[in-house]
Amino acid sequence: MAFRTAFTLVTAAVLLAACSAANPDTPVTTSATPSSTFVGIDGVQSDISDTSRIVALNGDLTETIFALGAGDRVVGIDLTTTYPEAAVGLPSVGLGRRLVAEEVIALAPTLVIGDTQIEPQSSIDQIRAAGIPVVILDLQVTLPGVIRKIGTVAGILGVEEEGLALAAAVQADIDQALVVASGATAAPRVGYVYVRGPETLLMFGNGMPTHFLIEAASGIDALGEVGVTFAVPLSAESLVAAAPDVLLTPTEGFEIIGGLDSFLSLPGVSGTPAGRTQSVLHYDEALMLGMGPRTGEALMQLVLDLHPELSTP
Amino acid sequence: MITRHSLPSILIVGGLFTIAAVVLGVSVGSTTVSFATALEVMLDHLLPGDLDTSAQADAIVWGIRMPRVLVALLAGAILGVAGTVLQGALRNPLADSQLVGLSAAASVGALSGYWIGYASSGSTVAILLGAAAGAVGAQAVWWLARRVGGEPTRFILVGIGMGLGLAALVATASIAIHDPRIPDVTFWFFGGLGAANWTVVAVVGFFAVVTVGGLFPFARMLDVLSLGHNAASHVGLNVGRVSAGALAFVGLGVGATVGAIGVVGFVGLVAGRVAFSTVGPQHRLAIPASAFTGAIFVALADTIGRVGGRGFEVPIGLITTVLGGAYLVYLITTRRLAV
Repeated sequence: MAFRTAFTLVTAAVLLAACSAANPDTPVTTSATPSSTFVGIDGVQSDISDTSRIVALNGDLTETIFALGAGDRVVGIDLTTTYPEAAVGLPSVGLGRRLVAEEVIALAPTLVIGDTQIEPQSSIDQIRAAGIPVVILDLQVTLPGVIRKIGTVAGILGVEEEGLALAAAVQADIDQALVVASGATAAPRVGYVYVRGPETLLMFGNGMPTHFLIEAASGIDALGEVGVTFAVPLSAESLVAAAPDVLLTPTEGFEIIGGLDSFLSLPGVSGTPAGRTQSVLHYDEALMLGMGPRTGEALMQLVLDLHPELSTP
Repeated sequence: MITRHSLPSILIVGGLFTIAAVVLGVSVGSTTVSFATALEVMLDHLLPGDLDTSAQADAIVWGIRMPRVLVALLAGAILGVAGTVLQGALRNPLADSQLVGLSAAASVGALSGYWIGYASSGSTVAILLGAAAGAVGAQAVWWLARRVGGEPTRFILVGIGMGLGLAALVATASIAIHDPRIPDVTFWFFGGLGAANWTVVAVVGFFAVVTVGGLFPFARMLDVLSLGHNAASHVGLNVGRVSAGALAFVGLGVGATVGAIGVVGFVGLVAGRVAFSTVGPQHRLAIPASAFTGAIFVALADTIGRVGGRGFEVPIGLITTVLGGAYLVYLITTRRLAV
């Protein structure tokens, strides 16, 4: 790292000297793409001089880049990308959470963007060693975090104006959903059960995106209330103790395990009010968990689904 | 003196197979880099002059695959020699560093480094801690075995017991400590070469030189030791000192491989058996032969694990175990191995 910094400084000095020697009377010209540095949440400073070929390692980051109108710069996505359609056809580098350096390098990107979920660190190091900047962003799970993420990505891409416009639009969507939610007269107890397959069952609690969405939608995060924090393996006991009136789950996993009947037979579900009344709502995983530009849309849908009293006149 | 197997012939044949393993290893990976491109990149680095290779091909072949293959070869050489020395010194054709608990002891050392936060995947600290714990573990097994007479069988039984216990401890810790910085349980039981880089090549290379270089001078003494501890004592060999010395090098080397690539089983068993049955019982020849056999075995197993491509990798230890297990069954059912 120190060597790289020193090397960059020396190179810059030599280039400056060369430029001023060649044109002693004209000021040093800057390149077409303004060069900038970005310090990621991992403390690593990246020199970003070219954002023309981007590999995005999380679906929500791809979504954000496309919403900023910079989708044509994306040359690679990860397997969690399901939206927008224009992105889904792009070359995939596999799972960002099981990153393989070769897959990324082979796409010859000039910039790689991911967040703290990207693993293993050794793959990130290998991509950086190949001279490709990898910026690691903080994971955003709250509603204000959605706006922060848009601002950060826009800043990295040098599209600050588009960033401000998108942030304002997303904030307006969120605010609209919050206004509707404020008219709710009931506060249902809601639990999020994450299902990927019959053996991958988790429950989400405090600190997860679903916690903030449920609370914003005038619901009570029932699992968070009984002390579930982040994502933990599904425990029948905790689920029953949480006594959720409604259970939420991702559509993809819901369909993989075989729909409502299979979901109701998961450990503990039948012992909850939600199980007895078959109150199970499923949402597109990227929409509900991504905390991307569609968060306002997701929140509005959740508000209306959790509060039937708002739809009936 | 010319015999059917001489040291130079082992070096030449082993060297040729090693080069073949390198060429094969760098041409296979997650993405498609043609065989010709892989060769071009290697020649570009090894020969003077400048070939026109793309930056990506270079980053993939020379930056990722080459160090990976070299780490596999170096770690395999250490594990192979460790197997030979254990089989000779313990007079047991099935002895292996994993069997006698050295891998598990090294895992405890490396894992504790991750746990307190000083080690990360492929870091020198992890390798050094693994090496230190491996050496300590070897001495601990030897010390415990001596308390009950020090016969090879006692040593193996003590090692098995300690190994199983420590492996369970490592499994428990890696599952219970929910920390993304700590490699998951697969690494501690089936290894992985994903973190290989040129620094790891240098550090494991250092330990390969120390281990193989340190054990080679023991060759004559190990020949005597493999006649049996009583016989060895009668001809004036200090069994205790020789065993402790050889075990220190074995533990150190095996521990370094565990810190670098995790626990990869069956390598010592296979390499030792192949070496002894090919070049005969002399350790002077069996040690270099098993270094090559272990190196090529591990490099090939890693290559096979990457054939699937698209980021899908079969953990290397699963492949060595499947191949090693099949080889063991073959040896026993064809009565090539008396146990």
